[in-house]
Amino acid sequence: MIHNIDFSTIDLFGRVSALGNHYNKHLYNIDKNFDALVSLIDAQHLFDQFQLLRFSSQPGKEMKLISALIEDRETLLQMLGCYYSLQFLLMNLKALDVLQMNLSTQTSRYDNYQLFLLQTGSDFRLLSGAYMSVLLDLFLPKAERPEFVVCCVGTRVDQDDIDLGVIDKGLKNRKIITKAFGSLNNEMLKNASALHFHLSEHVGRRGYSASIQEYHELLDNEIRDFVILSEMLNAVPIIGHLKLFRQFKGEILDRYFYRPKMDNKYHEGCLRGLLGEIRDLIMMEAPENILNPKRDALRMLKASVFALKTWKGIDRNTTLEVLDVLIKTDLANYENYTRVHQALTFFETFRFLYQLFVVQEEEIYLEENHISDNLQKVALAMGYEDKVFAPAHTQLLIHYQDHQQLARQGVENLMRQITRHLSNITIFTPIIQSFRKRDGDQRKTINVAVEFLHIARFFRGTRFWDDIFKVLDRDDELLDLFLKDFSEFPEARMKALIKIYVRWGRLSPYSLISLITIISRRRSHLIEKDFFGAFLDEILLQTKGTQENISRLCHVLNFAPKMMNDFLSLLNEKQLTKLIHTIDRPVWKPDIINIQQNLTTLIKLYCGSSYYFKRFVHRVFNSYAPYISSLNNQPKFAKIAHGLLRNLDNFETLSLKIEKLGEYYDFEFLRLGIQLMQGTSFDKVNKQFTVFSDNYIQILFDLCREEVVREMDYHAPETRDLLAIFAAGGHARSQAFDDDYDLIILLNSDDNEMLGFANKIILKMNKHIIRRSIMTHYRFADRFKNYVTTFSNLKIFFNNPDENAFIDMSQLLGARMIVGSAHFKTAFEKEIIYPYIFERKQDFIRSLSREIRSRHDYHFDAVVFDIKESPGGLRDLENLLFILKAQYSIVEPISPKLFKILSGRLAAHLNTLNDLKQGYYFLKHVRDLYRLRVSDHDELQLKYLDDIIEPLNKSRGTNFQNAKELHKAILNAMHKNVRRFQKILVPDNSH
Amino acid sequence: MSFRYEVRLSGAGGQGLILVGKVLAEAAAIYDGLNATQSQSYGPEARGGASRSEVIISDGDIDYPKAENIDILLALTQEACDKYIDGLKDDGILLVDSQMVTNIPKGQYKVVALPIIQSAVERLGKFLVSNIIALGIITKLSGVVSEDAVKHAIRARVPKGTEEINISAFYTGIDLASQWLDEHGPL
Repeated sequence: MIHNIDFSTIDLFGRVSALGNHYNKHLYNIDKNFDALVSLIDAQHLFDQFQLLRFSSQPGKEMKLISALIEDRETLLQMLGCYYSLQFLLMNLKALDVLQMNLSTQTSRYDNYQLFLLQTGSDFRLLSGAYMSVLLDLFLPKAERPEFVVCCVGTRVDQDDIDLGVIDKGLKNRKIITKAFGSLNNEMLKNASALHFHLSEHVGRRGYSASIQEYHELLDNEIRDFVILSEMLNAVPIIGHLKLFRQFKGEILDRYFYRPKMDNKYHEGCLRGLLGEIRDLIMMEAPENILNPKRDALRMLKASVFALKTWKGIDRNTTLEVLDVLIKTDLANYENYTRVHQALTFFETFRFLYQLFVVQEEEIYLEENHISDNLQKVALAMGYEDKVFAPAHTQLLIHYQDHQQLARQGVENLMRQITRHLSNITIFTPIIQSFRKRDGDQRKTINVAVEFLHIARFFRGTRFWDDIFKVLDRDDELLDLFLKDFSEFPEARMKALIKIYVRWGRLSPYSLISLITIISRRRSHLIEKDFFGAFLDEILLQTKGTQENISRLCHVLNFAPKMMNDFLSLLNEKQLTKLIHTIDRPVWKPDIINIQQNLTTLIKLYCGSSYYFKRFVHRVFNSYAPYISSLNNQPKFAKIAHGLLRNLDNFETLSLKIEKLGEYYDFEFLRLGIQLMQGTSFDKVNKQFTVFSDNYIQILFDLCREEVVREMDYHAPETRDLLAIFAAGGHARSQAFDDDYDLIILLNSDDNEMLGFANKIILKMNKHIIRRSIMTHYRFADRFKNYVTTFSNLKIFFNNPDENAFIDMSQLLGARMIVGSAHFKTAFEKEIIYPYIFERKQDFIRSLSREIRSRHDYHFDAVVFDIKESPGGLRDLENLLFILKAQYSIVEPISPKLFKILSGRLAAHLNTLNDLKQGYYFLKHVRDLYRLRVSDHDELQLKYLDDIIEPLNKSRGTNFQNAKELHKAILNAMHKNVRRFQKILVPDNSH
Repeated sequence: MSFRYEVRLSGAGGQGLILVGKVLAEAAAIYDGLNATQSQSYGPEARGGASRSEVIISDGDIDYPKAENIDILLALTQEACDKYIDGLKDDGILLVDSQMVTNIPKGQYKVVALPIIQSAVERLGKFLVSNIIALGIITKLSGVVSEDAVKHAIRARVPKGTEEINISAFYTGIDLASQWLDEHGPL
């Protein structure tokens, strides 16, 4: 008990100890000075004039009484500080108690939050306003006071700081005002909340205040810092001359509100600033381990309401008050406003209570040790209770996420409407019209590209240009005018202009990338022009590898992955390498790290891939851009692929099913390509590749068959045991990443109707396969002038073979059935393979052996060598295997299983066979990686072998240090293969 | 004649520089009996770009709230260093994180490059306390506020339960600065 004031009755110290540590300064103040304050009041018998155990409704009056009691300034400041601290604590305890009571009623939680925020904000302004007023009376007595007005420009309920704007009449009296506010600032920092004078930091000279004239000087010709505008437009006069505020409002503030049929460039600038901020916030991916109510929701919510306030001319101060008006007057948007209202009240209350109970910081790290205890206090205060299924703070966190979504939905919907309003009022519209009407002389003097920049200068500091880009995107004439004028400059001027454009968009890569991708999409012929390359070079030059730039680019990827994918596809290898250097460096922001890794992987994919593979990268992410976020999560990527396949049944039309099937193929091709390049086992990748490419052909056949059946006006023939599709070439050998697809379509019937039906199906299939950038080759199509080959065709041909028939035989012997029945396969082997190949194997083997020997007469090229056609290369190995298959009548296609079967037949050459197998798969691995990373050519170039060493070493456990070493190993393998053939073939041929 | 000491703390949003500014200002104003002001960037530059917090400490009136002759500039990112170097006195101190700031702008000032973030992670297992390590370094290098005052102010500002790790971080900063002074001599 201190004198006759018994704090234990209200448990002041106990309850405050539950609040954050920052309240200690108030306890410190009370502890230090309260006894003295009470003694003074007691001595003057003024107890009945004070409320010291509950929040006073007249703090200003009581502080004035204290001022009247004490003459010594230092003592007075201490006593006032002590009084403020006490009232401040009482105010917050009252607010908490009332909130608890209200939350126990049936009223809506959001209405209670709103009531709490409005009442606490009002109490805080009453108390802090009174304190500042009394202090100002001390530091700047009214008699000496020049004309000025103090405005609160921040959120009323925020206690972590108080944002003020002070407007004066100019430099004449600034020194006096500044001195007084310097002292005020110091007292407020010690005993209350720090004062922030953001406006006068940017506007005016030397002081805490600025004059209307200085606002004119700064803001008449440019929008500059839109945050200044937000603060200004929030201004509520609390101390000083209202007349001066009215003048300020009339001359400065009102022009930022929409005025129908008048010049609205200030309003437009305000909207560009606000929309830019909203878009930047929406672009961010909220990190899972850090909450930040301002970043996650409050800023975008307030900015959207603020934009509406200036558009609709709503004369209310707080966001909640403006929102109340909107809800009542704009019924068409009732749902959006309700979303915004719920999110706003939730996040404001959450932030307020977190800052009350924990710390006055914006970032909340969920991995901190004591975070659950701290959040539990907030949750209980917000009306959550521990439940069997989850404690209060867990429920709060889940609701936090829900409200984040709610905020985004509401804001995105409102943003679209505000953007439409912006495009209706923009000053660019009449200017664009005037561009079109340029006559001969004007055409010479007005350059559209320069003029755009010139007009945009007024909006410097804002970052929203979507509406203008939209016009450029759909207006061919304007786009041509813009590009023509841009590119017709002499080189030096053009580059200088490019530099200015890029500098203009430096802080908003989203805008620059938007512009560049619009140009590339709409005028693809320009991609090869100097102008375009210079633009890209300049963007990369000005994008330094700072944490902030990395974050900005990551946000673009997060928000507009498709656009980023398009942008990367435009960069050449040098530009991509530069971008990797910019991006691939340590970052500390947890929300950025994952996106940065995905962005780096994506850039490396473009940079480290062959042109052939790049097409898949671009195409897949063009259709499925959001999946870039799983680029480094291969298990998830595999699940997506399965989903894409299973989802085919859900599409209604055949054409849509076929389109999605193609996308599934591309996706799997990309997924496995990435796996191989990241060093996944070669066998595993090849197996998966075969599964999906077979899936593709099988389903495509079914869908195309169904389509043909639907198009026919008669009953479709039954083809089940009569028609089959075989993969030949690489696909038959389960070889991944071939750029062509060798197919053999066999029909075991001579019925013309059935032949026509089968041809129609294959024709359709062909059309779709080609769209995957894969060339289909139909074996025998040239020979028999038909996609489909009948058994009769083959029999007639093999009965009268020409000198190259062994090649056709090897195609059939190497083929692997993808579509067809077991009956068909049996019939095929029985009617074709056995009688025409196995039973005539001597001729077949002789022809193939001759082929191998003739290949061995070639000489190796030291630098460029063909991994397929050179002696000891893949072709030789495959021919050897055909020989052995024929020799031992084995129908199994080339596969590990075939090697196993052969090892049973070639017991004497077991080691040689094993070495051959190793050599074969080594060469195939090299060839596949080269195909993905360098080029789809079989002629490998020494200088590019470096690109495949890393994944090759990783997957095979080898240790090649450089291209030369690898090159040597490939040549060795091929030389050894040649010797191995001789070992195996010579004795067999002797039989 | 009264002294005026200007501190600019710069980095990126989320690095806790506003908190350091508040702690430093309160240490000076509440616990050391000096005058102090603290301000922070609000503008678009603070939203996704480099951000700053400024503290001015004086034993007299602070009649001009803007930092113009900065005695010590802390830069935790390269962009912040490049952006906020203007205003650093010729004989001022440029304190940078040695990993994050690799291009030191040319000037007459004294450069102190220390592994602030790395020390937070390696010595205390928490990236989060790098701001308080920086505060310890500033306290030692500047000598403008007492260690005791800063300790009190830290305890009165950080969340409950995190007081000790923050005090450890503060002393880590003091150690780093002392070591630097031992190796390079007084500033």
